[in-house]
This record gives sequence, C-alpha cells and structure tokens, in this order.
Amino acid sequence: MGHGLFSLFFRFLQRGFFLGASVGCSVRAILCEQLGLDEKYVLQRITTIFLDGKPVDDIDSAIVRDGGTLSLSAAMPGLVGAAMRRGGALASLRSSITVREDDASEHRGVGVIQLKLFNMVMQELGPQFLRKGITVKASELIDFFQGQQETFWNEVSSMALNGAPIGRRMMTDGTFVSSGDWIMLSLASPVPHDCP
Amino acid sequence: MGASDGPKISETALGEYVALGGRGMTSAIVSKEVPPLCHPLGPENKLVIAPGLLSGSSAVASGRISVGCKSPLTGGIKESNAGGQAGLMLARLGYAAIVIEGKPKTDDLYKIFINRDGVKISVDNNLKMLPNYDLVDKMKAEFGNKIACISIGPAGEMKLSAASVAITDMELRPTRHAGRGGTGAVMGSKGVKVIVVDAAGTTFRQPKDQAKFTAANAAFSEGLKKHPVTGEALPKYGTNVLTNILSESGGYPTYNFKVGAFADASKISGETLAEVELKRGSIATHGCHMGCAIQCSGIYVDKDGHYITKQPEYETVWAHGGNCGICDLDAIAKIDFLDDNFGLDTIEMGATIAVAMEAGLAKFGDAQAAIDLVTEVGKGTHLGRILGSGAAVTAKAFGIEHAPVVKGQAMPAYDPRAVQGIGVTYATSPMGADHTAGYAVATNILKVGGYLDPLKPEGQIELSRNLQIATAAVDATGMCLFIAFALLDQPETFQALIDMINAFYGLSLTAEDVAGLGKNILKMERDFNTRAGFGAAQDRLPRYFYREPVPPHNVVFTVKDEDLDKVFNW
Repeated sequence: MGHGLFSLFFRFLQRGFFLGASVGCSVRAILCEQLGLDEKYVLQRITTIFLDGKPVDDIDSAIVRDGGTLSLSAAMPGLVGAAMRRGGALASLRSSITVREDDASEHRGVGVIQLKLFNMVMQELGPQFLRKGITVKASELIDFFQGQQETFWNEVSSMALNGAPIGRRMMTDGTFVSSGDWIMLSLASPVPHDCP
Repeated sequence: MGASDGPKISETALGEYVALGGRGMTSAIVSKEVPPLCHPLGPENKLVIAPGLLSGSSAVASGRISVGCKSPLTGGIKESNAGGQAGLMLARLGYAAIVIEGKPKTDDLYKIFINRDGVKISVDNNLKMLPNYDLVDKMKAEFGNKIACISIGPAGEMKLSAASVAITDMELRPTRHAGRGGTGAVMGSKGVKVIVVDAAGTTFRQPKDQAKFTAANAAFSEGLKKHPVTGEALPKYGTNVLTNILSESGGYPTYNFKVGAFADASKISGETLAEVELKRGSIATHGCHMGCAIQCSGIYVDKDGHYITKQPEYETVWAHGGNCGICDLDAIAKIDFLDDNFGLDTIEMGATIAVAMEAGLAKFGDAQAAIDLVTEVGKGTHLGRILGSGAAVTAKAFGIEHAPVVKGQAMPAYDPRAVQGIGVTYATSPMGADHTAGYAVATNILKVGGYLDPLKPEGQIELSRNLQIATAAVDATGMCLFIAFALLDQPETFQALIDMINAFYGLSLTAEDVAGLGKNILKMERDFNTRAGFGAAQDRLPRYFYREPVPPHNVVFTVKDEDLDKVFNW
C-alpha cells in the first residue's frame, strides 16, 4: 500500500499491540537488545516510559515481566506531563505510582508483552513496527477495515492472509477469522522508511 | 459603573502598581482595594483586566491576559488567565489595566470601546443574552474586523459562578477564555457585556535597550523551537497530547474521579484529534495570539469541513470526555462550542456534568444528554442555573458527596491520589483547585529552596511551594505558561527570558528577583484569603480523596495536613 496510509494504522499503536519477547529482563534490554532501538534514541527521545501504568525512572532496574505493558512517549507538556518524565526534576510529584522494584534481578523466560506508542514516538517508530508486524485483536482490525473509505482501498495494491491473497470483502465482513482471534498485521510499501 | 450620572471613566498613573503586570497587577489591586468580606457580585468587588509586563512588545508568546476579582465560586481571590488578542492590543494602547468597579443603578447593559482616541461607554440593550459568537459578529459589523473583544455570554449575564470571560482569537472568534472562578459573573454584575479593543495605529511597545531585547527575544524563541515539548509535541498535537499519558499513568479522572484510566482514551487522544482535523482538511497547528511561537491550538471541523470550534484543549476533552465517559470527539467539540458560546468554564462544566451523571440526571457516556445539560445552562432553566453554579452546588442540590472541588472550584484533569504533588497544589493554591498554579520554571536552576532529589518521595511540599512561586512570576509577564518546559530544561532559555525583561525595562533582575516577584504575588493572595475568612481547613482536599482508593493503582491521597500547612513557610 502507499506509505501515506501507514498513519491510519497508528491507532493500533496507541491502543497497544502485542509481541513475543524474552521477558523478566530490564526495560533497556527489551528496547535496545530485543526491539533493536538505538540506545541514544531511547535515552534522549523516549523520555517518558510507563511499565504496567507506572512511570519508569531507571530503565535498568525496571523489569518487564510476562504479560507486562510498556508504553513509550516523548517529553510531555504540563506540570503533570513533566512530572512523568523519566528521572525528571518533578518526579517526586508522582512518587506514589513510580515503578519500584523489590527485586531488580533478571530472570529471563519467553513471554508476551504489550507495547503502546504515543505522540512523536508513535510517528517515528510506528512504520518500522508496522513493517515488522504487530499482533492485534481481529475484531479491532475488522472494525478498522469496515470504517475505511474508497480512497483507502484505492491505495491498497494487495492483501494476503497467511501468504494467500485475500479480497476486500472478506476483510470487511470479517469472515476470514473469528472475532475473538488475534491476528498479526504487517504493512508493506514501495518506499523504504529509515528508522531510528 | 455606579456613578450617580452614569458610568464614569477615569485614567490614572500606575503609582504603587508600577512594575506589575498580569497576575501581579490583578492580585495587587484586588488585595489592596477590594474588601475581602464583600459580596463578589456586589458594588465593592472589582474586575481587573491586565496584560502582562511584556505584552504588546515583540516578545514571542507574550499575549496572555489576566482577569482578577473576588471569585463568586471560591469566595477568595481569583486570577484567571487567557490567550487571544486582547492582551497585546490593550498593552499597545498603553493600558496596564482596566479596572471595572461599582455596579450600575439600572439593569442596562453596557458596551465599552477603547482605541487610540480614548474610552467610550454606551448602553446597548440589544446585546442582552446574546451568545458570544453572535455578539462578536455584531461588534465586527459595528467596528470592523481588526478589533479584539472581551465579553460575557448569557452565563455571565445570569451571573452564574461558572461563567467565563471570553477573549477573541486571531480569527476574531470568542474561543479563548479566562474561565476559572466565575470572572464572567462579576463582569455581568457590573453590567458590562463587551469591551471592544481597537489598536489600529499603534505599534509594538518599545524596549529601553532594543539591541539587547532583540537578541534575548531571538535566543528565547530559538529555545522554544528546539525544545521537544514547545517545538514539537504542542504544535503537532496540542495540549490533548496528554490524554494517552494521563490515562496510562492511572491519573486520568474518569466517571467523576471514580477510576484513573479511561478504556477509550485513544479514541479522544491528541494523536487521534490531530489525525481527524488533518483528514478533514483543517489545521492542527495554530496560534491563539499573534506572535505565539508555540502554536498549540488548531481548528476543529465536521466531516464536511465546516467549522465547529477551536481545537479542544486537554482539559475540555477530559472534562466533557473521559470524566463523563464520552469517547466521541465530535460530541466533545460540540460541547466545547457551547461552553465558548454561553461563556462557561469548560473545566467546571465538565466536572459538573459528571457530578450530574453520578446523581442520575444522565448516564455516563451519554453524549447527547451532556449536550442537553449544557444547553439547559445556556437557556437559564432552573436546572441550568444549578448546573451553571458549579460542581459543588450541583452535588449539594442532588445529595452527592463526590464533589471534586477545593475552595469550591472543581479539580482539573489530574487525579491527586495518583499524582500527589498536584494534590498539594490543588489544596494550597489561593485560587482553589488549579492545575496551572504550580508550574515549573527551572526549579533547580532557580534553586529556590535548594536542590531536590527527584527520586525521593519527600520534597513535594517544597516543590509545590517553589512551583507556585515560579508560576506566579511567569503569570505576571504575560508569557504563555507553556514556556515553562523549555525553561526547565534549558538554562540559557530561562536566562533569555530574564534578559528580555531587563532589556525591556532597563533593569538588572536576577533569577532570585523573579522568584521574589512570585513570592510577593502569592503573599498578597494568601493575605486576601485570610482576611476573607480562609484558614487551614480550606487548604485540604475533600475527605473522600483520603479514603477512597483510585484504580488501577488503588492509591489514596496521603500527604499529611501538617505538611500542607508548611507550603507557604518560606
């Protein structure tokens, strides 16, 4: 599909998508070792991180466990937005909800985590995750396709399910999958996108 | 307004009010000249409208205006702040403040016109009960389209405690509001419907040292542009970029502060809002006043591209969205328009509607019911008058304990149980529950009260104190408070702000002097409130915040009363 359509799928990144990971390790290990994000980008750009809804100050001691949710954002406005910043001067304003690890040692295993991308981080990292593939609820994907106009479908050159071509009708009436299922969605476009 | 022969105009030199602007000016005049025990809607109250110390100059982001009085909502001192064009125009005309005092003897409605030739006050009863948009159209037809308007809608004429004062933006729409605390009701009690400002023929106010000012302004502007908050997040997504963040943190008050996360947050987030605006052919990057270098606003249109309202702010999307369980951006935008048109504080109205929903007047999530309730306020029905009097009155009328208010003013979009530091500010600010009273201005650079370890749970009291001091200082300059983020991170940008003030006025202020200005403002405000009968008991959150944990983190407010009482020990 046209690269310009990628942003339409960003809603899945905001809501959260799933991926398999080696869990029981630090936030830094997940982001840099496993997801391959540049360390400089992580440290300088992803200045607001939540782990299971709690603000993270130390990406080396915060441990991501099986079933965990990691949410990534750039620097945010407002007193409270500034308070959520990783290791920020105002972090004490939200000390009651900050991530605190009783045991920061790593115990790695295989699991699934949820990742959410917000604001500029969503813009910048979104395309690479969409190309690699994200796992979302089939029902949400069907809703998405049902809400698209003709202009969207005109930009889609082909669709495939498990490697086999699939038509628009099956995507919009959802007969290709049970609504309770999960589906791996990945996008391709002819324009390569440079990722951080 | 109550002079025996009809409204009387007088102009006076600044005198003891020299070197004050914005909140510094409004709080100085109110604390010195308004009897603290007066009735807010009576003749002894004063409505003070003041641009900031740098307003009207070529300083970027300097167009804010302050509106001050004794608040009919809180019963204490009030400064309410807005963007729009009026601040810079008044400053260019040479006015440091407009003070409206007394009360007319009849129920005539007045229009005030200010230009280079002076001030005229005239009766215009044809304006009675006009909503703000219709009113501004009439003023454009009469005075042209190079004006700015400061006005009240029907809510202000009805003297409702949630009534705002509207300021027109660059498109001459009444979209910016001095919303908090019922300032619109005070303007209505003075019989003033609109102040029309025409700055034609004026130029920028000139600094004492032009070369230094220009250099400092350039450095300041560059600092704003290069910072990721002021240079990227705000222009791209607006203040509503906070919705996903707050919901993720468990600090997003939902269903009248019952829980701290909204499952449908992504449907009404800043990211989604910007996408909708751009998809519909509108803009998501827009300034509320000329010279704004941040441009956090936008324009919201319907699916056919027709104007609905300005891009709703985070507080509006929260108040009329998540707090009421509503996840429909079009509905939220419609309510935003109604707030602007009737002249209502969007935060107070959203909090009130949520209380009404808890009381059973409507179901959480019912957008049409929310629209209908706000419409009742605009019509002035009996129910509308209850709702338009704010969340505390509405809760009382319907027997609800859960009124999220401090000093009678509704809390904004941050749950104090999850973010305890904002709870300290809500509790202790002289303004009532207020989220802008405690912004950071390079706290560690100022080193007001010493350096704080950000990872220690202690220090929230000191931090809230320092933030309130710094905010008061910024509010006096006319600068948009969003500059705070760039100042926090970039010492050179904070220095550029001080250099601008010094170059403009020929001073040699230091950071400590700026902090001193903020302290003085807070001292005046606290003193007024004390004389108005406020004590420690008013510097508290409602009891249920100490008792009822908020999911998902299941935390309560734990800051001790004796620590709250130390905030203003300096």
